[in-house]
Amino acid sequence: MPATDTQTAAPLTMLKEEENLFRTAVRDFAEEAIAPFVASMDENGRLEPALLPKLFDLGLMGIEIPEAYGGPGGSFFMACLAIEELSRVDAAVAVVVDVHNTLVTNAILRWGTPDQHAAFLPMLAKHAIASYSLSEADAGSDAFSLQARATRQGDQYLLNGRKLWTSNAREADLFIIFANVDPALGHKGITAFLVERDTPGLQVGKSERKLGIRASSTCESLLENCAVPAANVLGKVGEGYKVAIETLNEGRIGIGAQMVGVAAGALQAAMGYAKTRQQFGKPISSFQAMQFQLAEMATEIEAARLMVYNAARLKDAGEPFLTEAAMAKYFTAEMAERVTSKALEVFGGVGYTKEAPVEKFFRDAKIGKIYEGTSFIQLQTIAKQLLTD
Amino acid sequence: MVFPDETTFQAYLQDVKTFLWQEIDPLVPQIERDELIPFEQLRPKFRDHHLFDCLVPETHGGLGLSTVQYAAVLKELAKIHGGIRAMLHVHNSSVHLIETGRPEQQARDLPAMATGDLLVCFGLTEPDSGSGLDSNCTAVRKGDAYILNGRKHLITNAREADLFAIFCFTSNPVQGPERQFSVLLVERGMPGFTITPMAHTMGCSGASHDLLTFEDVAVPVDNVLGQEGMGPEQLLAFLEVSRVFIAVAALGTAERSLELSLDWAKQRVTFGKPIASRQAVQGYLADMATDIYALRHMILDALRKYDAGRRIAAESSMCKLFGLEAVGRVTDKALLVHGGLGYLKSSRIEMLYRDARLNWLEEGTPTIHKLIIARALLQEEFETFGRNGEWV
Repeated sequence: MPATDTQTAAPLTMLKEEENLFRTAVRDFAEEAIAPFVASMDENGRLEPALLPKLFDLGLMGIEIPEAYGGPGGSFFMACLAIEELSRVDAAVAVVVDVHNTLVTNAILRWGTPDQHAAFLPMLAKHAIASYSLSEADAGSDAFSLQARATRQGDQYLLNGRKLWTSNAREADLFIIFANVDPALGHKGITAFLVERDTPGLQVGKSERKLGIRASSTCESLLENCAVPAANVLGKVGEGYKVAIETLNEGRIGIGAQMVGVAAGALQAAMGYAKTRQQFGKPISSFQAMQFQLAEMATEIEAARLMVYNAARLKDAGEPFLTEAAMAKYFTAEMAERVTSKALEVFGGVGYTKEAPVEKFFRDAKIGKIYEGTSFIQLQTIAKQLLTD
Repeated sequence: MVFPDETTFQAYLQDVKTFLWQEIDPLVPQIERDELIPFEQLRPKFRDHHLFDCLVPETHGGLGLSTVQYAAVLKELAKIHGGIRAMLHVHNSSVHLIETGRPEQQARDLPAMATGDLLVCFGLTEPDSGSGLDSNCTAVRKGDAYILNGRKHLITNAREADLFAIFCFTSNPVQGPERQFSVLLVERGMPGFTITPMAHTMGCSGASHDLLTFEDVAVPVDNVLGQEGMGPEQLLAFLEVSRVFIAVAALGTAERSLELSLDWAKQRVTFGKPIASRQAVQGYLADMATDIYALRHMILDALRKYDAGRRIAAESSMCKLFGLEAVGRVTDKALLVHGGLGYLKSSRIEMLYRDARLNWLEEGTPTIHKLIIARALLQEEFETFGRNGEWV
């Protein structure tokens, strides 16, 4: 537990002025600019290209990048606010912002050299979309069994292998790719590389067709003698596993924010419907059975949101947050599944059709229990921390 | 046949119910206050109403009920009082254990168990071990006796029992160092055998749950139940069905909780209407009834298979696991329906809520049952794919 500070401790959901303005701006943007495209993007499995430059214009990409590098110099907490607000409207757009901010930008800020900062941060703040490539066919929860190889040749590394399930890969301009420099070293051979899209030998395949977050791309990529300058090693050679673990520890909080947003969007839709839908001569919101469903959903969302905010604020404060982040991701993902399921039931048969927005929330929630560490892995992390403390 | 048809069985069941509700139910508040079941006062009545001999075969003077029939009796006991249920459950389940004995052991003990003159309990749990094959109780052969050492705790009915079926490891130094898992019948009063009461329990009050200590207790070789080394199969034989009986107890507690909740919801008026007219309360009652319905049918399915002579390893653990979770949910909601009055010691719901918590623990915790179910599931995988041992 972090030390208490009676001078500064404030209610978790009480926002600073700049946080509040930021959240309002994101909410307005999501409702005005994204909402009209949500159904068609989901149907087509593709993001509306015109939206991407707008995410940069609004300062949602590279939120933590300092002003000196052309970024807004915001906080990790603000990144979570952005992800939550976007997810209320569309969790797939939120994936772009989430990966860009909570996996890639923060990894470069934390592990990058001054030269790497100068080379990559300005473009990440202005136009380059980022992607994070760790998983492989046989390396999911067991991420460090990855088979991609990096072979030193002069002042560069040749990357070979096959990566799977890379979010945003279709749109990405910059990748963090994990490969092993020496399989004999086991996980201590794993190294992180910054790889630009146009690097010869990097070939991004077609996107998977998915249950939820359909507009977000999830691609296979092939590495065939992909030549990456040695200067693009992120962190030290052989310390890629640390980069991966620590980035994912942080990224998890972003997924928590995404799940809170998805659940909140579903609740908002359910409340709107419950107030207008008439049965037995009254709006269904006047029935206790309905009221209690809505109350349970709101209570669960509130609990989940507090967990996410707390983990994000702990991180910004430089306090340990590993257990809190794992708990937040675990709880929010389970919560979002329950809440979106109840929201669908509030809509009844209409909720089961594409006419209503709620079946999409229900589908989008499912990924929360799977990516950036399954719920099983979160439980293992939590238990391990409990037992070693 | 004692009960040649369903009508005669139903008449017996009705007699039991009448006895329990007219003569035992009024004693419950006193038992709860004293945390003591007046067993000697009740023994003749239990005998008259055939509560000791339900499972004793007719050839040994019992009713020879099927387990499906017995479940109806046991459920009624759980509705009345968890402590009395626990006491009679242990005696009746021990019948299954004694049935694994040699013919002369069965002929000696089963008729006495049927009349309740002989009360048997079993000793499995130990202070330093879990349930079964990690036992620290040892019995070393010396002449015509086994010298038993070790401890058992939380042994239900230890205060009242005459005969203790103790699971332990027997060995014979003359033949070698091998140890065999066996059951020894230890008699009350054997030198070196002491019984120490343990603290009172949260629920199922009034039954005894004591510590047994064996210090060089000389147990005649004749008192080995069945043969040496039969322990593992004896354990399986009686626990497999006994665990379903815990689910039956859970069912009784849950059914009684629902009955009381329905009565109360119809009586209690707030905002000018009975709370039973509120959808939110109706939702609780419907959830409770659904859990009960599912549990009842799981139990019926498992016991019908058992009565037909089939193994029910996975089914029995599923009944126990689902039963303990269902009775937990049902008693939680029953307490909510009753509100503050349900929290008072004078309330039966308060008692049933506590009684339910023993179902969580007796004869295997939920974690153990999940393990058993998972192993049963994966065993098929092993057999199909030849990966035996990889998952266990």
